[in-house]
Amino acid sequence: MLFNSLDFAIFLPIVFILYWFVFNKSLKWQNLLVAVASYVFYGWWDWRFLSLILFSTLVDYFVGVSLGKTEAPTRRKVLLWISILVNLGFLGFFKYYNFFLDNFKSAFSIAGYELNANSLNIILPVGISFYTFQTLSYTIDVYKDRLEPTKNFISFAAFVSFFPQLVAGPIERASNLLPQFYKPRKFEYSQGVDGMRQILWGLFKKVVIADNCAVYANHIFENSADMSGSTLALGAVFFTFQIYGDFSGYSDIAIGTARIFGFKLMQNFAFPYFSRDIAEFWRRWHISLSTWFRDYLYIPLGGSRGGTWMKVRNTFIIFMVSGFWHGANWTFIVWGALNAVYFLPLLLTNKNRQNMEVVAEDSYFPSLKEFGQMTLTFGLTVIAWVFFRAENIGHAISYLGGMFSESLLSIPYYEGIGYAKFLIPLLAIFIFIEWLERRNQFALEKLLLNQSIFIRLAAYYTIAFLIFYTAGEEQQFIYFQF
Amino acid sequence: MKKFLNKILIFSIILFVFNLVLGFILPIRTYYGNEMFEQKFSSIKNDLNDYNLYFFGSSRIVNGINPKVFDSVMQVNDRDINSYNLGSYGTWFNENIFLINSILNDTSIKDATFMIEFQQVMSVPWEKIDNHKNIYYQSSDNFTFILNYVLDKDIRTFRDFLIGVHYIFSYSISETLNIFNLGKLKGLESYSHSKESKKFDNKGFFAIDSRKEMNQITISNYQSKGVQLFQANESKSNGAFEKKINEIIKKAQERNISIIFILTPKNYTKEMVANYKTLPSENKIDYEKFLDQTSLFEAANWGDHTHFNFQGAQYFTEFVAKEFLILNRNEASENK
Repeated sequence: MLFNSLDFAIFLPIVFILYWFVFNKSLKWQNLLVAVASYVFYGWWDWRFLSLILFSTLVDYFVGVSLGKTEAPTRRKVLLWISILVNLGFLGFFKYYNFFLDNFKSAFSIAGYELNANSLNIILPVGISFYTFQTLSYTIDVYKDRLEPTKNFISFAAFVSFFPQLVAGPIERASNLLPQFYKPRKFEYSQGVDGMRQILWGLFKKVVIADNCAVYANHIFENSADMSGSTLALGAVFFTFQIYGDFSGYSDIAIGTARIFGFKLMQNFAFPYFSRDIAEFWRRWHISLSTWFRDYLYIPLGGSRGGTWMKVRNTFIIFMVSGFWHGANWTFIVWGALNAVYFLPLLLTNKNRQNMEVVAEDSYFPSLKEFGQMTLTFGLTVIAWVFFRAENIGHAISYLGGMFSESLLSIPYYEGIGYAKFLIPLLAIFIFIEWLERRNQFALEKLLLNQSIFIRLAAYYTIAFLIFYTAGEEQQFIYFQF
Repeated sequence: MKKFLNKILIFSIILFVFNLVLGFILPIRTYYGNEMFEQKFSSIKNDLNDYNLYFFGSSRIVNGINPKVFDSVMQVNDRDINSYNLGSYGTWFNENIFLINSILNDTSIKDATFMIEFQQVMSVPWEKIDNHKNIYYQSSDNFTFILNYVLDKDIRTFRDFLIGVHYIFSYSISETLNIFNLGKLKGLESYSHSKESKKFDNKGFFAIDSRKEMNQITISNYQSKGVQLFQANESKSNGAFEKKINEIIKKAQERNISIIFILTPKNYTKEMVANYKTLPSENKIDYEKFLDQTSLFEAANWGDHTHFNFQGAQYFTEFVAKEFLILNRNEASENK
């Protein structure tokens, strides 16, 4: 079920009413409702893949319980590996089997051998990368004694499948989300209103910004051979906003939805395009994944301790694995590697933690230096997104080659681009609002709160109208495929 | 909680009312939800009076009627006909009626013929319910028609009842989304951005190649089942449907436009057959002759299991053209 679909518009009020008015007397029943609703939400797409979530939930639940009963290091290690192998096994099979097979076949054929193995027609289960990482965090934390294993199966099932963030995050840590299922939840007016505002802003980002940018970005990327350098640059910028609106919009709707059910999820995006360097960008972009890799991969590998070689190795590993997590294609790996190349100079000169605060925290405008840093960082991410969006490495290279040609300074043009005249001012307003509200969790959190109710309502109605007027023909969220 | 729900409710009501008002004020392009029809219509809108015969319908018309063939048959028979194929993909009965009504209301076309694919009334599939294509033509009139249509449906089983409920439910949702102006930004005059390039010739026809080897049994079944259904008399026609058809025929007559319904080969339903039989003979092509056309039911003439290929379109158009001539002769002799 998509957040921007009619199905969800019907599903959400039904679950909301059942949750707060029918099952509100018992925490157990409320949690059971969350689990069942989550299975309906997921099964709406393809009920057959519910078995994967259920199996993963059962395995990790029993691994957790068993870890709580044993102190023997070997047995604990075996249990941990069972969880890792099951979860990563599913992920590896459904997401990466064909990729590895095709690459092995190519490698063998270069060496003069022909491998007789056929690719499988595998459907990638929606959100598998998200929920496997979420449930893995539970077993690893229990193994490391950072978390008490749960004996409450319903709470655990609800945690693994929690519908607001099941298919595209934020990837919650068990230590944050699971305990919320143990405590009784009470509806709070302020939380409810905050949640609705965040849902509204998330829908705006997805339906108005991302889906409209997608029309132009798709056209330009699909016909890149016929476009001038400036048009290609514009296409890359449109994609840059498309992916931000799409993914951070999803996170906003997820966090807002969780809020109206009394849950608090972690912030996943913190206005990343106002970053002054790549290190800051990665502290603000897909925070739940970056911190997951930091805690469960980077630090166990040694992090930034050790010699220069270790730092370089660990940086490349974490960025390339992060890229590979996004998809079984070399484009994602190169995207990750490129970000590692951007990041390394900062790490090696100990400047990766120099921009920890919000840019221009005490003023309306950034300084000239900050503006230059933001522009440079934005430009670097735009270039990296070309690899992310391209069909293959060759396409990305020819795209960038075309972009950095003489025609980069011409006026962007293709038939139909004139209609972007609506989108460009809208993007400018969007950036302006995000800039004004960059100190908050999301742009509508405190926007106009000190203004009269009429001004606030006018703003909310304008956003709602824009969502309605640009909606229809719902677009899949990009991150569903990861 | 009460305060929260009250606020949500009031917010939604005001949003609904504002949307209604905006829906009346904003200049929305009439055919914005049907990209192919809009492309075809805009390419001929300055020359509407150059044509005196238009075809309407779904992809079966787009791929099945070649106006160049039709005009050449007319020429051989000394008839001065210039036809245009206004068929568009996925366009079913309600949408076709909307398109024809809009053309009758908004253009000066007169002294012409509209040949319309005869179709059954379809419900809106849930997975496409919020597509612009299923929203843009909705209206209170259409919803009233659906209600009457379902009430007059031959409901014999619980399944029939559920189907009726689905009709009402799906159209009420689509109509609500229309009131909420879902996606109408793309319908604003200033935002006419066509995503697809034109895929039809200068007379609105588009031929498809045979994509795979057709199953002759499936195609033959269209014919044999059609014959069985047309011979049987076990289903009653739908009064609301008849009324709708008569309204459009009458409205067209005021502009001296004659309406002729044509069958295209497919799986027919009992209700559809019953409805076709109730059409006045001057407004339809004889179904018995249609079902006799063996060349139309030969797998080699099909592009896929629902559409003719180029050769099939040639046969089908020639058949329709000849039947049109017969209808005209009959009418002329009656007038004498």
